[in-house]
Amino acid sequence: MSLEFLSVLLATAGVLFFFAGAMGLLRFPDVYSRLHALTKADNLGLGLIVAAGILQLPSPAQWLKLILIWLMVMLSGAVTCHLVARRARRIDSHLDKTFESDLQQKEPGP
Amino acid sequence: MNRHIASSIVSTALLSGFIWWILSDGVWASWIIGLPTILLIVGWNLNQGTPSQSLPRFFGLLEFLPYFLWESLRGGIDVARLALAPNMPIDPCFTVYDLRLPKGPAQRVFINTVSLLPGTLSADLLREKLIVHRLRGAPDDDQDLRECEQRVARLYGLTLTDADPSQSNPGASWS
Repeated sequence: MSLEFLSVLLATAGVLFFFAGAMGLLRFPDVYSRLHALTKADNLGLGLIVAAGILQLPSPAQWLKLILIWLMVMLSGAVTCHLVARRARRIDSHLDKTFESDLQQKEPGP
Repeated sequence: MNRHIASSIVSTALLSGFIWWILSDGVWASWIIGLPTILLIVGWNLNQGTPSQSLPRFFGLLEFLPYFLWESLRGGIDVARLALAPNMPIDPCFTVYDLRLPKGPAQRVFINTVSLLPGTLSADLLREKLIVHRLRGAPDDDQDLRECEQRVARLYGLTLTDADPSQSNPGASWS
């Protein structure tokens, strides 16, 4: 069956993107770059696996359920990613300010 | 009760009902739980104060969806290539983007879509300026972001006033 074959192909591609996302998480240098890998690669990986699942299922209601799962994961992924990045940035800038004021305190002297 | 609130109630109820129908596989008995839940959602939504100002237009959605899917495909492939490349040619940096979309659902959709575009990630929002993290260095212009913002504006039937980038107070108007 060519449909079966296409489904296996899509699922394999999906797994590869999840693998790439995990590699990015391990290899990228900082929290922001890692978020790129997590949101984009995993979103595409899940999308491909959902497409593979749709080819295996008979009823449109089940297709909708899979698509709904994908939409929900995508939405929560994008929002969580923004919140993590924002928190990281604000902590970083706070640390920078503390560091600067520490330097200023040490600097003055006779 | 004005028409605005009424249409917000109807659309929330219809959307929640549709999602419940999908989740419950259309089993009739499940509505014993589904209906009260939907009423709770509608009530909670009303309780949140102003209902969302606008909904995406149907034809706008048909236009936006292919762009969105294509860009998330490109974004995924791009970051996967970077993550797997032996020399990992990334050049992370932050850039600042002046938002032209007004506060509200359209702006939220834009901010979340930016994170799925190739190489960009919305990191923070400070006084109508979006702090964008880029994986491939800072470009000369933010053409990718400007196009995405333009498409989100069309999705919501808004017109962007194409302000000079150096101008400090760019704005958008309802059409």
